[in-house]
Amino acid sequence: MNDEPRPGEEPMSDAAPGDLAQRGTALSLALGFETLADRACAMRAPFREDLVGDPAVGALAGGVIFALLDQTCGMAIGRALRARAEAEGRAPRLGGMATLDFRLDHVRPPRAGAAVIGEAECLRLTGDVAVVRAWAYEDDPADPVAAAQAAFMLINTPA
Amino acid sequence: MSDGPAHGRPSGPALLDAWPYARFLGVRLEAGDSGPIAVLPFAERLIGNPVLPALHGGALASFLELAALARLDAEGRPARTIDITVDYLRSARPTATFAQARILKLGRRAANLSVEAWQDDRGSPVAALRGHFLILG
Repeated sequence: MNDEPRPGEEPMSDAAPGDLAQRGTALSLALGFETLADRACAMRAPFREDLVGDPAVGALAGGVIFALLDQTCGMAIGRALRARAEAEGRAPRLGGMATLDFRLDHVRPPRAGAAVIGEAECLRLTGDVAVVRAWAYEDDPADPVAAAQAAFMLINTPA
Repeated sequence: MSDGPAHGRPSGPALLDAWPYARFLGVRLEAGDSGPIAVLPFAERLIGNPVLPALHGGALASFLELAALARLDAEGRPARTIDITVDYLRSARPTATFAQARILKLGRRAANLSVEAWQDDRGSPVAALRGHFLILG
């Protein structure tokens, strides 16, 4: 087994906001995530009966929210990398990214039968590490169901 | 293993069959020497990075969380997640993944668990979870 995260070879140079969802990891497609174009880095997890956690609660599973926020964190990093390239006057050349750690706090259970929206922002891009926070809610970002904080290692990013 | 359902819920291995998202992921439980071992068979829909390819961090996290909840359930202490932190140690390849949860503290109201996930080599875990869980009964 390789001990290091292996670099992604996929060129992401034409990545645009929302691309990550459309480019779609198999998991985000299987979970039916939709990119929200009216916000910077937001995706929606539609409610589905087959994605419920505890049937006694009837809400989307915590793992679905984890996957949603992980994916929106990727969007936020892509956006921050594009902004950095723009500020430095060069073409964005995005590489892969590997999650180092990801903490998720469940503030409260989501409402039964409700879709959940995830949003993320990149707090800091250093050379190789991105620090990101993300939050999930049904309707009101001020009334979150979950909050996340994560660190990612950037791979193949321009120096 | 608990003798019967708590709160009218299925328990033990049946817990994962009763949770729609666990069925979606394909998680099942097998008996192990020191408690149940959760198994996540590989499926295409679990892929997060198609180039490597590697399992999605969200799928791995969900699997680890379910392993923790099932472990508590096996103690007759059904629970709900308060917080989890997942450390990603290695790229998880497109093959079966296993997880075993360890209860570090089982309190009256909350429990602290540690879960490790591995693939071919148990000595080289691909991810590790630490988390707090609210005891429901």
